[in-house]
Amino acid sequence: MTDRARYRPLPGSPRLWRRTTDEPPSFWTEALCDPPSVYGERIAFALSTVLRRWDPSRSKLGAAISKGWDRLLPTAGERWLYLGAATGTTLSHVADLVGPSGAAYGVEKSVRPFAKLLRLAERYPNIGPLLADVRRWTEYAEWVPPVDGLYVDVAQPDQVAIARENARVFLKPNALLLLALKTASMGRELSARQHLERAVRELEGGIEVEEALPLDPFHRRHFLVGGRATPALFEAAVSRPIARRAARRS
Amino acid sequence: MPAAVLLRTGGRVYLVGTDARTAVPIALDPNGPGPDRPNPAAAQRIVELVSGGDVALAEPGLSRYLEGLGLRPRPAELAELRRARAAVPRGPFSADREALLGAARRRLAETLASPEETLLALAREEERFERVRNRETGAAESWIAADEGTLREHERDWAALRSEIGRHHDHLLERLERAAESVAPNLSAVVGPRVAARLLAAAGGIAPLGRMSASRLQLLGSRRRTGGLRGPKYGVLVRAVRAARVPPIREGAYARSLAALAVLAARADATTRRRIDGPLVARRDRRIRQLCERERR
Repeated sequence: MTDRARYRPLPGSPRLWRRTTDEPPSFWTEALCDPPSVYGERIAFALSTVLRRWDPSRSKLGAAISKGWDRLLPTAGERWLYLGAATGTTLSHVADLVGPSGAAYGVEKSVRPFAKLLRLAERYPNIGPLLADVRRWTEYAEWVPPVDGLYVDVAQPDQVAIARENARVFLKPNALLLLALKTASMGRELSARQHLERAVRELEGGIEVEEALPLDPFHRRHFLVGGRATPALFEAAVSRPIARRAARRS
Repeated sequence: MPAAVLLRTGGRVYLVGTDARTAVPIALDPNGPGPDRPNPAAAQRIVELVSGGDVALAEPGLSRYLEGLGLRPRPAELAELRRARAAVPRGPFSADREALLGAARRRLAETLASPEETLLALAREEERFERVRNRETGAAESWIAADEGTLREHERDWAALRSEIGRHHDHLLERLERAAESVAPNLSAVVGPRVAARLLAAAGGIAPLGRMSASRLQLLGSRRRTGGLRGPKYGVLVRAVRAARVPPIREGAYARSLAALAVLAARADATTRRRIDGPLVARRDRRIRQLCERERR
């Protein structure tokens, strides 16, 4: 069986491949660094390049892709801002997807994960690590150009507000927002579904939500929400750093 | 009339003109009136470009570049900010990469060297070495060997290693106590520096500890109990409780009181940094006496 038959590209992102011979099919990205393995994932030599397996149980975006998410993805040549990069597990795959002509900026606040992220960035040609608080965009705005996509995975009670505020400052018009929603961080008063509905309502008028996918069974009570920035997002006058815990209600 | 916007990009400062197209880099002069101030020529350029209009700042920290120029900067509105950000010239990522990594390394080093992060790292190390020391001491107590022979040799080497570990652990404790007393003086006075350090390590810093309720602080650092449905019982605070030598039946009551006092101390350490430990310690000691007396009656 030839590589071309085993690995099928995804229409949404040319550097993302689906291996059809696995059951269920597994997903692979074209590695950008050497040695290729970042977090102990499997490696394959195929398509005259090196592929890294995207582990759905370690990455929310990976889980969504395993569950059939095939549009609204980072693609080659784009610049992405990634909030809540931690040690860079998912960020490394995003960096693979945007490829050598793109860039992936990762913001992380905790020191210890950031030390690992920095080591990763030293071997990756297109990862920009930023040690800062995502509630204060002025701390990292100087390094981040206007971006084609924003990925938010911060597990905070006010994660939707954080996503929206950063989208207002950093996104290009009509650019993508991917929000990995951890509903357990948003309080126990509402069910996961209700939290999702509320999050979509909060994004309304600024982000046009096109897809929302539950990430069971890989990440329980999590959703991936994808949408595009509308002109209305950039209209309101002043944008300020977000006050801590501003969004926690009832 | 739209404003000119001053913003920082990739370590350089730019002034984007009112037409939102011209982005002029502002040269920094190390020999100027102060570090990070524009040199006179650049200052002149700023005044020209602004030409009597408004100046808006992309971030508040930039106001120092405009001091002494007679300009009144204000925070940029979102639309101004976005226009200015789009106007600044950007090379490929590789052009900025080294500067970005350098800034990240500096930022990380600064954060790691801060007294608070030092304390957290020391507290984790101390905890680890305490486990090592206890494990080795326990093993030594049940060790038996004949008076002569290979095992005796091993025992001598091992004893040397144990005393080395003990010495290192003592040094760690000394450093840790000093660090805890400087980061959280009030809390250290109320529960003792070692327990204070462990509380800080479990909370992840003085700020999260200052935001905590007393009931959470009381159980901070507790492990989930195996089996059964009951919740955790002892946190790191239990050492301070045991050290007070109240009757065992009163320990629970004392733990609640101590947690309430500790959380006040932590809040003072996290916010005002005023010393309030005198009255807190007095109240703590009064409570200990009270609990001991009740037992006698």
